[in-house]
Amino acid sequence: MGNKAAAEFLASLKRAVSNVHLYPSGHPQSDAALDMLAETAGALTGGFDAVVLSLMDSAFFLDRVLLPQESLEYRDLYRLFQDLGLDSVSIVGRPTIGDLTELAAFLAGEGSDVPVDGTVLLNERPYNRSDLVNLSSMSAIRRSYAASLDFLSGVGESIEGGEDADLSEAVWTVEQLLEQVLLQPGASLLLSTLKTHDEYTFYHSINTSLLALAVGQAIGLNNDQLIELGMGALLHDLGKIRVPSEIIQYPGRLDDDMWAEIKRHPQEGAQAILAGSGDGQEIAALVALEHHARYDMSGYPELGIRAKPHLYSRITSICDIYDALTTRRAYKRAMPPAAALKAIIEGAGSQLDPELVNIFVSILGIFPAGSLVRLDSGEVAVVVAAGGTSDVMTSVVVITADGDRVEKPATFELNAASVVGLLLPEEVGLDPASLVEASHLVG
Amino acid sequence: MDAATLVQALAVAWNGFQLYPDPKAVASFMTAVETIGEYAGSPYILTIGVEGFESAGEVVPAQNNAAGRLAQALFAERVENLAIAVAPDAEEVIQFCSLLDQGPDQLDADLDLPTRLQLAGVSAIRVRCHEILKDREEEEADPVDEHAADREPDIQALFEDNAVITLAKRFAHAGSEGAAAEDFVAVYRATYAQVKPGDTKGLQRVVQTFVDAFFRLDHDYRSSIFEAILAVRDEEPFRNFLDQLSAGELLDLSRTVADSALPLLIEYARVVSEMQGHDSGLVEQLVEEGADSRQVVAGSVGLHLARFLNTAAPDEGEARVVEDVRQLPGAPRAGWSVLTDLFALERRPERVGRLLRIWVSKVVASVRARDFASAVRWVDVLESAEVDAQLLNAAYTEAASDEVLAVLSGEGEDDEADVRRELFATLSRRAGGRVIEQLAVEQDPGRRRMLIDLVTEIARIDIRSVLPGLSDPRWFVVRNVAIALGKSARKAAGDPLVKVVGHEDHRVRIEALRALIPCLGVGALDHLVEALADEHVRVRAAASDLLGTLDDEVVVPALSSALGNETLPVEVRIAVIDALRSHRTESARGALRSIAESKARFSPSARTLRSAARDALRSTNG
Repeated sequence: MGNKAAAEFLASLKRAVSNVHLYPSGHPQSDAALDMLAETAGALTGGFDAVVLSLMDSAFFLDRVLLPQESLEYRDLYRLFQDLGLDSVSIVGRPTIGDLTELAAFLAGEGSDVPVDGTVLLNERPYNRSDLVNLSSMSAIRRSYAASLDFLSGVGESIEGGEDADLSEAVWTVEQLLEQVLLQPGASLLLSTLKTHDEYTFYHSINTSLLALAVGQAIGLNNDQLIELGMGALLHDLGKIRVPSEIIQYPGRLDDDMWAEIKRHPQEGAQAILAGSGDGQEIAALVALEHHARYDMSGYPELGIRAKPHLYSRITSICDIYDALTTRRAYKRAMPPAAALKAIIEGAGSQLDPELVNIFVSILGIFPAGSLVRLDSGEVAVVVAAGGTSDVMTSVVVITADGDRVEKPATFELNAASVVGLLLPEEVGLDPASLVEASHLVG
Repeated sequence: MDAATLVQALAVAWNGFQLYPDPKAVASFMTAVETIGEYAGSPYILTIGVEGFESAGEVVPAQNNAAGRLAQALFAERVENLAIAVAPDAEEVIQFCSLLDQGPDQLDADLDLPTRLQLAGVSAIRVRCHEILKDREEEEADPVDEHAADREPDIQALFEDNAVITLAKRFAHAGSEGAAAEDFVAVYRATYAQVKPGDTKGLQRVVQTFVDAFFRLDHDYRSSIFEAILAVRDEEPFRNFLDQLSAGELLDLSRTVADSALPLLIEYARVVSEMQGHDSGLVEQLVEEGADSRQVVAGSVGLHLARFLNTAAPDEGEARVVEDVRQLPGAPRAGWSVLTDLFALERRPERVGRLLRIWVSKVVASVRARDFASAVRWVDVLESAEVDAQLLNAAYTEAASDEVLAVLSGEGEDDEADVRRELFATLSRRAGGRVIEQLAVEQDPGRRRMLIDLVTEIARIDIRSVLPGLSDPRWFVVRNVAIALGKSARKAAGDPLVKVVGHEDHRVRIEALRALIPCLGVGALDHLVEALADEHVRVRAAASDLLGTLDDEVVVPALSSALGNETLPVEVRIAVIDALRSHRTESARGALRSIAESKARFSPSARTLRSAARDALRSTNG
C-alpha cells in the first residue's frame, strides 16, 4: 500500500516547486502552496520525529521504507532531485516555512541559501545503501516503468526544444517492458492501471505499451515483432508533445482550431519518430500515424488507399482507447475498467478490429486487473489477476464491510456474481497499481 | 388403482424430495412411496408427452404443479415411458429423484437416465428413453469386427456400453489424485500392451476409451493424470494418448497442471510443433522462461498450439489475425508508406523541409548499410511526392554526398550491382556540380582522386551535369573535369574537350589532349599533331608521347603527312620526326628516310630536318 502522508508531502512539494517558477515570492498562491507543504511535512513527522526522504535504486524511500507507487507517480520530482545531486531530504520535527521555502527554491533551481533553521537537512541521510536495499527494492516491473518514463521524458524535452529526438534507446526500453510482461503478466497489467494527472502522455504511453505487448503476445508475435509493436505503442502519442498543453488539457469542447491542432498529432508523432528512429524502427512511425485512423479508416488523418491500418496500429488503437477511458482527465471522469471494456466492445467492427477486441477482452477478463469492485458483502476488492473469460478472478479485499482499510490483504477467488458495483480509485482512495509490490498477489 | 393415483404419488414424492432435506421424515413422502409400491408389476405404464403424463393414449390429469415439473424433468431426459417394476423403498425413490434432478454429472456425461439408474442400482422404477436415430445409424454402419474373437477380455470389455463410465469410476474412486494418476498410467499401459498386432479397432478403442474416461474425471484428477502422462510422453501408448487431445484441451490443462509439469508440456508442444514443420520460436522462448509464469503458458502455449498444431480449428477471426501476423510488412516498408503519407498530408513549408531532411537521412542510412533496394524505395518516395522543384533539387544534392556516391559507384558485380547503378544514376544526376565544386577545394590527393572517379562515373551517367565544369574560370577545375571526361571515354565529351585544347593554361591543354584519345580515338590525331607545335614544351612533349601511344597504322600516315607539310614550323616537324622515331616501324623509317634523303631543298631548315631525320634513322637502326 502506498504511504499516504509521503504521497501528500511529495505532491505539495511538487506544487511548491512549480509555483516558484510561476509566482513571485509572497504571492498568495505561493504562500498557499508553502502552507500546504508545511502541513504535509508536519504530518510526516507528527511534529516531533525526524523523517528522511531519500533516493536509491530509482526509488524514493521514506526512512527505510520503499515508496514504490510514489516513486513512479513523482518520477519528475525524482529526476529533479537526481539532477541537483540531492540524495536525501531530512525533515526534523515541525519544519519552518523558511526552510521549506529554501527547499522549494533549491529544487526550482533558484535558491542560493541552504535551509538555516535546521528543520530541513539536505544530503544528511543516516542510512547507507545496504540499510535500504536489503529491506526491499523496487520491483523489476516498476524499474522498467521508471526507465521508460525517463526515456520518454528525455524524448519529450528534445521534441519540445525543436530537436530531433534520439530514439536509439527505445528498443532497450521496450525490451525491459517486454521482459516484465513475459515474466509477470499479471503484475504488468496491474501496473498498467497506474494513472497520474501530470505527464499524462508519458504514463498513458507506457500503459498502452504494456497492454499492447500483452495482446501481441497472445496473438503469437515473435520477439522482434513484439518489440516493434511495443515501440509503436510506446511512441504512438509522441506528437502530442507538439500540441500545446492548454489544448490537450482543455476542460471543455474543443473549437475547430483546437481540434485541427489535436488531429495533427499523429503526423507530428510520425515525423518525430521517422526523424529519430534507427534503421528498422520505422513501424513505430506508422503506428503513430495510424492510431486514430480507425479500423474502417474513417478516422484521422485521411490516409492513402488501404483497407485497414497495420496490425500494430489496430492493437495500439484498442489499448490507447482503453487506457484513455480509464484515466481521469481535466475534462472527464475516468471509467471503471469493466465499463471501458464495454465501450471498447461497442466500437468493435467500426472503430476497432473486432477480432482483436475479442482477444483484448479475453486477456483482460470480465473485470480486468485493477478493477475496484464492491461486493454483495459490502466489502471493496481489487482484482489482481483477471480470469480471462472465466467468471472467477483472483482478488483481494482492500476495504471491509465496515469501511476499514485492510492492511495486509490476502487473495481469494472472486466470483463475478458477487460483484454489485464498480468503483473508481478516487472513490476509494486507493490506486490499484500500488498492489504490484505484493508480488505474491499477482504472481 | 388408476394412473392418476400413480402420477399423484410420483408427484408428491418428487415434491417432497425437492422441498425437504430429509424427505423420509416427511409423512406425505413416505405415503407416496407406499402408494408407488402398490403399482409394482401393474399394467400401468406412464408415457411422457409434451402435455405431461399419459396412460393408454389419454392424458392423465395432474392435480398439482409438481406433476407437471416431474413430467418436464423426464421429458428433458428423453424418457418415453415409466413403469414400476418392483416396490421401491424410500432410499430408492430418493435416488431416482436425485439422478433425475441433478442430470448427468461429469462422469456420466452422455449416459442416458436408464443407464444412470442402472449404474446407481435403481431398478424398481424403470424408464425407457427415445432412441436417437443417429446412434443407431452409426452402429449399423460399423464394419464387421474380425478381431473381436481374438481379443483379450480386458480389451473386449472396453467395447461394452458402459466401459468409459466404469473406467472413469475406477479412477475417481482411487482415493486420491496421485493414486488415480498412478493407476491410470499403469492400467492404460497394460491394456495397451494387450492389443494384438493388426487390431487397429482394438487399439483405437483402448486409446479412445481411456481418453474419454480421462475427460469424465474432475479437474484435479485430470491435472494429476495429465502430469503423470507428460512424464512418460515418449512411450508410444502415451504419445498416442496425447495426440488425441485438441489444442483447446491442452490449453485448459496447461492452466492447471503443476509448475513442474509445465516444461514437459512446453517440450511436448515444441516437439509436435517441429514435427509438423511449424515455427516453434515462441514455444522455445517459453521453455527458456521456465514455468514461473503460469499466465504466459496459459495465454501463449494454448494459442500457439491452437494456431500451429491445427488441432483446433481457429475461428475465422482468429485465423485472420494469424494471417495478419504472417504478412506483417518489414520496418522499411512501413517507413516508405509513412513518409509517402506525410508528404501527401503536409502543406506547411517548414515541415516539408523537415520531411526532406528525414528523407535524406533515410537514403543515406540505407546506402551506408548497403541496403540498396531499400534506398531505391526511399528515393521512390520522393519521386512520387509533390514537392517544390527547388527544394527537391536541394534534397537530392544533399543525399548525393561524396560518401554515398562513392559507395554506389564502387566496382564489383555483387547481387545488387544493377540496383546500385540505378541508384547512382538517380542521385548523381543532380550531383555533378556539387562534386566538381568539392573537387575544387579538396586538398588531400587521395580524396581528389576519389572525387575525380566520382565525376567520371557521373559523366558516364549524365555528362550534361559535368560539362559545365569545363567552363569554370579556375584552371584546375577545368583540368580535373577534363581528366574525368577522358576517363569516362564518352564520345560526347570530344567536342567540348577540343575547345579546351586551346585553354590558356598549359596544364589544362595537356590533360585535354590526353582526354581526347579515349573520347575521339583517331579523331584526336590532328589535335595531337597540332599540339606538337604548342608554345609550351610540356604540351609538345605530351603530344609527342601521346602520339607514340597510338597505333602505327593510323599515326604514321598522319605524321608522315605532317612531316611533309612545309607550312608547319620547323620545330613542329622536328617534333614529328621524334614521334616517328618512337614508332620504330618500317613505314615510320620510310617516312624518315624520305626526309633524310631529300635533296630538293637546301635551306637551313631543310638541313636541320634532314639532320634530325638521319639521327632518328641511326637511332632506330641501332
